[in-house]
Amino acid sequence: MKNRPLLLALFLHLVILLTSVYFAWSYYQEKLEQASIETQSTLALDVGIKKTLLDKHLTTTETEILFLANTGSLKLALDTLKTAWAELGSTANKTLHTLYIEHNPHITKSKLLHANSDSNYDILHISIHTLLYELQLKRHYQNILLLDMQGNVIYDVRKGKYFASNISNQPKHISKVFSEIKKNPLNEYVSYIDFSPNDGSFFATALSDEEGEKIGILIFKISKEVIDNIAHLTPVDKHTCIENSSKNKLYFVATTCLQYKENYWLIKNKKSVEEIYAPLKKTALKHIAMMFLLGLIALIIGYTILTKFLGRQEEEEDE
Amino acid sequence: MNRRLFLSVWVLSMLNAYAKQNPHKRLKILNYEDYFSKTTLSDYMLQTGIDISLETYGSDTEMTAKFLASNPRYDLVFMSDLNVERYIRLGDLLSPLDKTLIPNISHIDKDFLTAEFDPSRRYSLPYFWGTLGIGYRKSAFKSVPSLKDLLDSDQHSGRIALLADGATNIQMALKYLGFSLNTTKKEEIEQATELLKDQKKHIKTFAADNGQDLLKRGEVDIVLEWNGDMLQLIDESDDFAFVVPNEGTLLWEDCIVIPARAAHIKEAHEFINYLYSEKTGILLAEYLQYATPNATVKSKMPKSYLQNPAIFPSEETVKKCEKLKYTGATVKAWYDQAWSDILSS
Repeated sequence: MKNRPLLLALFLHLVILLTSVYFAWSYYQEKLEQASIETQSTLALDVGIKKTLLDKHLTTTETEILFLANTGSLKLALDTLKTAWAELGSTANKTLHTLYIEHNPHITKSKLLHANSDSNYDILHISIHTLLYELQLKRHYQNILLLDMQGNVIYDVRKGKYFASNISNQPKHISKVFSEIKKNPLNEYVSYIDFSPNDGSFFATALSDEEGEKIGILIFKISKEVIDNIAHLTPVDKHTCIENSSKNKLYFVATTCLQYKENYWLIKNKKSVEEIYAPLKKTALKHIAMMFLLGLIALIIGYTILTKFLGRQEEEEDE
Repeated sequence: MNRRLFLSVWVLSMLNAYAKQNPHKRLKILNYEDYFSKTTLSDYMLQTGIDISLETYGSDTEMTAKFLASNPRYDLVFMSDLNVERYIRLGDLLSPLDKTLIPNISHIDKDFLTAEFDPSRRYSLPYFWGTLGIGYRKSAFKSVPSLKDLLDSDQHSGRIALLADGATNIQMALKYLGFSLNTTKKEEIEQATELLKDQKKHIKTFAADNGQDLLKRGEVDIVLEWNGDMLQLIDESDDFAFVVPNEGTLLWEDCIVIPARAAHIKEAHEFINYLYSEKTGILLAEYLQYATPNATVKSKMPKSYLQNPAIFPSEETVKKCEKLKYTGATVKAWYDQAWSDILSS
C-alpha cells in the first residue's frame, strides 16, 4: 500500500502528459493547415498582382504610344524627317551611320544631339531627339524608333543596330510589327511581346494624317530588365499554361498564365514547405516540452499531497 | 501729411491699374527672312506696348525644326499654302482663328477668303501671293528664256541654279513636260525625275532660297526663283529680269497662322488685324513687292505696282498656272525618293 500515492501520481502525470501531447499535436496540425492555406493564397495573390502590374505596364505603354502617335508635332517631325532623309541621297544610310555611330564621341550613343553636319536631317534631329530621348529615359523604354512606310529606320534614340537600315523582310521581331502595321489598314496598334532575352518586345503604331493615310510608324521597344523588375516570366507551351495553386513535398507553388498572340508565358511563385513548417514544428515541440514539465510538477505535487493525505488516513485508522 | 499720403496711394493705384491693363507681353513670331517692312514691327510695338520677338527661317525644314523646338510656342507663324494644308492634315498643330477679333478682314479680297487648302479659312489668312519663275541676267540671253533653258538645255551649262526644295524642282519639270504640278501619276513623276537627272550635270547648285544673290554675284545667269526675291534685285540693276514661264508655273500664297496652344492668342489676332490695316498693308506691299490680297491696299497702290507683270501676271498667264495641293503621303514618298535619286545621280 505504500506505493499507492506514487502509482496514483504517475497515473495523473500520464493522463496530463497524454492530454497535452494530444492538444499540442492537434494545435500543430491546425496551424499547419492554416499556414498551408495562407501561404497558397499569398502566393496566388502575389502572382495575380504581378500579372496585373505587367498588364498595367503594357496597357500604359499602349496608351502612351497611341497618345504620342496622335500628336501633331511628332507627325510633323516624321513627315519632315523623311524629306530630310531623302535629301541625303542614296548614301543616306552610310552617311548617318558615319555621323551618328562611327563619329559619335559618346559611349552611350543616344547622348549625341547634333552631328555637326549642315544637313536638314541634323537640324531636325535636335528637336526630335530632345523630345524622344527624354521620353525614353523617363519611361524606361529600351528604345524609340521612327520608320517610314518602306521600312527605313529613319530615327532611333539609341542609334543602335536598326538605325539607318531597312528592316522590312527580315526575320526580326521589329520586322514583324512593321509588316503587320503596313499590311493591315485597320491596325492601329500592334505588339510583339517576347520576354526572352532574344530580340525584345516591340510596340508599334502607325502615324496617320487626318484622312487616315499612314505617313510612318512609331515603335517602342521594352527591355527584358524592365519586365523582370515586375515579374519573371518563363516561356511555356499551351498545355502547361494553366493557373494553379498547389503544394508538393518540397514547395508551395502558385502560377498564373499569360498569352500574347501565339506565345504563352508563366509567372511562377514558390515557397519552401520546410521554411513555412519549421517554425510551427518548433512551437509544437515547445508546447509538448512545457506540458511534460507541467506534468512533472503535477507528479511531485500530487505525490507529496497524496503521501500526506494517505499517511494521515493510516494514522487515524491505527488510532 | 494726409494729402501726401493720399497722393502716394493714388499714384500707386494708378500704376497698378496700368500694369494690370498692360502686363509685359512678348509676341513670338516666326517668319521668312526679310518679310516685313522696315517699320512693321516697331510701329506695332509703339502702338501697343507689346514686345515682339521675331525669328526667321530660310527653308521649310528650318521652319519645322524651329516650330517643333519652340518653347513657349510661337504666337504667329508665316508659312506657305502647301504647309498650311500639310499642318492641317497632320492635325493638332494650328489654332482656329477667331475672325471677330480681326475686323480688318473686311479689307481682304473676297477671292482670298476661301481656299482649297483651308476651305473656310478656319486656320489661315492670306499674307501675300505670287509666282515662281525664271530670274535671269539679260546680258547673257539673246531672247527671253523659258523653262527649257533651265531644265532641258546645255546652253548655259554650269550657270544654272535651281531650288534646294526638291519637290518644287520636280513640279516645275512636270510643268515643262506638260503635266499637272499636282499629278498623282508615278510615271509622270518618273519622267520629270529623269529630266532633272539628265540636266543635273549642267546645274551649278541647288540654291537655298538665295538664287538672286548668286545672280547678283555673277555665279549663275539663270535661276528658278520667287518673283518677289527677283523684284528686289531688279530694283538694283537693269541687267536682271524675271519672267513667268510660258508653260505656266505654280501660284503660291503665303499665309498667317496661329499655332495650337500659342501663349498669346488674343494679341496674335490683334497683330493680324494690324497687318490688314490700310496703312500697314501699303507699307508692306511697297517694300516687299509681292502681290497683296488686301483689296483696300491694292486700290491705293501706284500703277507701277499694279501693272507690273512680275507681280500681277496677266489673266492669260494665270490660267496656265496652278496652285499646289497636298497630294498625300504616298505621293510625297515618291517625291522624296525621286529627289534622293536626282541628288545621287
